Amino acid sequence: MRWLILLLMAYVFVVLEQGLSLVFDQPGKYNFAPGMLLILLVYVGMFAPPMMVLWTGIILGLLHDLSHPVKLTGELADAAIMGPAALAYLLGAVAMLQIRGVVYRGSPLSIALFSFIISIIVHLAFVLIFMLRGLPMMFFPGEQVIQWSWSAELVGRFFSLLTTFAVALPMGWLLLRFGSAAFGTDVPKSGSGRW
Amino acid sequence: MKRSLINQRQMLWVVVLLLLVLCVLPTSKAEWISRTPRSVVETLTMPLSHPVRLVAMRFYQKPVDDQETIDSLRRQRDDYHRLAYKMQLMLEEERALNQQFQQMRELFGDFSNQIFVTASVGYSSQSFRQMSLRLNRGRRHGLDVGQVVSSGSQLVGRISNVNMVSSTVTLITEPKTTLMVRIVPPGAGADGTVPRQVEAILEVADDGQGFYGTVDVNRTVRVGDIAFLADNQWPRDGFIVGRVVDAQTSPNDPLRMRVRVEPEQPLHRLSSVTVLVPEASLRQRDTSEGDGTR
Repeated sequence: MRWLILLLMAYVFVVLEQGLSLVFDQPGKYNFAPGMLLILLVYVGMFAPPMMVLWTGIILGLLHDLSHPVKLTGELADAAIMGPAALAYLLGAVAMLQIRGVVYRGSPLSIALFSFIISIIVHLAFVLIFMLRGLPMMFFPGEQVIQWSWSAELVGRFFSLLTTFAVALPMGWLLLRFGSAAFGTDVPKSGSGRW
Repeated sequence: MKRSLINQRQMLWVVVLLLLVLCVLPTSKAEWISRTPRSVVETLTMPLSHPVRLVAMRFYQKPVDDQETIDSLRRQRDDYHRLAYKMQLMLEEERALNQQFQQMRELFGDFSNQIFVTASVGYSSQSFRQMSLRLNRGRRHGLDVGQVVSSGSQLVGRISNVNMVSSTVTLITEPKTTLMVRIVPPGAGADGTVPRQVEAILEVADDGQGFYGTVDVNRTVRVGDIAFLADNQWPRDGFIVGRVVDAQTSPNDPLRMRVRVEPEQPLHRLSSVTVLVPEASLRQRDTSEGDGTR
């Protein structure tokens, strides 16, 4: 794995995530947008050394935090809160390291399945962190996101992970096909790009 | 080798602790910390995300009927007809826009001390069901938090975050938004006469696509009437919030009429918008640029 290429890929995936959200997002309803950064995390998690996977999780999570600002109750301006997605992605990266040896890694279906599983962990962690952030604890008064409802968030994010699964199939194929050349990964030659 | 790994792990733990602290910081401090990296990310992604958005919009729209079976000459003729029709529609839109601006000026005064800054929408995003637009204009172009954003005469929202070269617009259809409006019939006031006006407070509907409000059942509000912004919480009145699409007696209160207002176009799918910048703000920016204090 090469850091420079990985950062360039992260940039492309952030742009894709932002650009494609128009197609999937339903205003005032649920969020159907696929988690492109999650797919990249899964791909990196499959082949990169453990420490690199963990750092990638943090970097991709921070990118997610910075590109998805939220508006909190009582504030005119919105704010990008760094941390929640970074921690959630890190948790996803840890989970990825635990389960990556279980299945055959050279298939787009594996990337899609892993994306689905890791998305569940990341979304649950993300919602949990924001829920805790809204609660008054110790010295912190607690700040709620406007129109916050953890149940609605979980339902919305369920649809999001379904679309992530669907998008991960072609994206996984592309990554396996061209990723080994760009990233220098150890994709098994016999299974590269095959189902 | 082993030592290096331990160091990396220690660093990772420090970063995790730092992120935990960042998670629980109050918004004002979290916003202050994230301002610079957010600005960098937005500045870097904006040039590419706009073309991706435009491509995505093509996919979003339903494709034109397939005409593979028709010969090329016929296709060309149909294309010309379509073009002519499109131009006709554009002309009508321009006329309607002109009429709306005239109506706004008659009802709410001139815009002589303000300047319109046109901006392209880089991308729209949705976090926690809050829709926002990212613009490719920022503080360098005179934009500031709280400024009004419109698409023609249609009110779009307000600037909620601004950095040097890009900014974020929070849409008026964001949950919990309330707007004070004046509902008037279309075309009223253009000839200088005082039109029938009904004041109402609109709240964003649950579907996030429009607004609901109630008015006295004796006041006349019809489908097709236009709701103009008349809210002293906003820096400038007179923009069109939307058109009345439904007006019926409230089922819970027979003395009140329930009115539904919808924007004339889906706000999250706009590709360009206009920001109303006070002239004083631009003058201040020019002065600071001249002094080299930017």
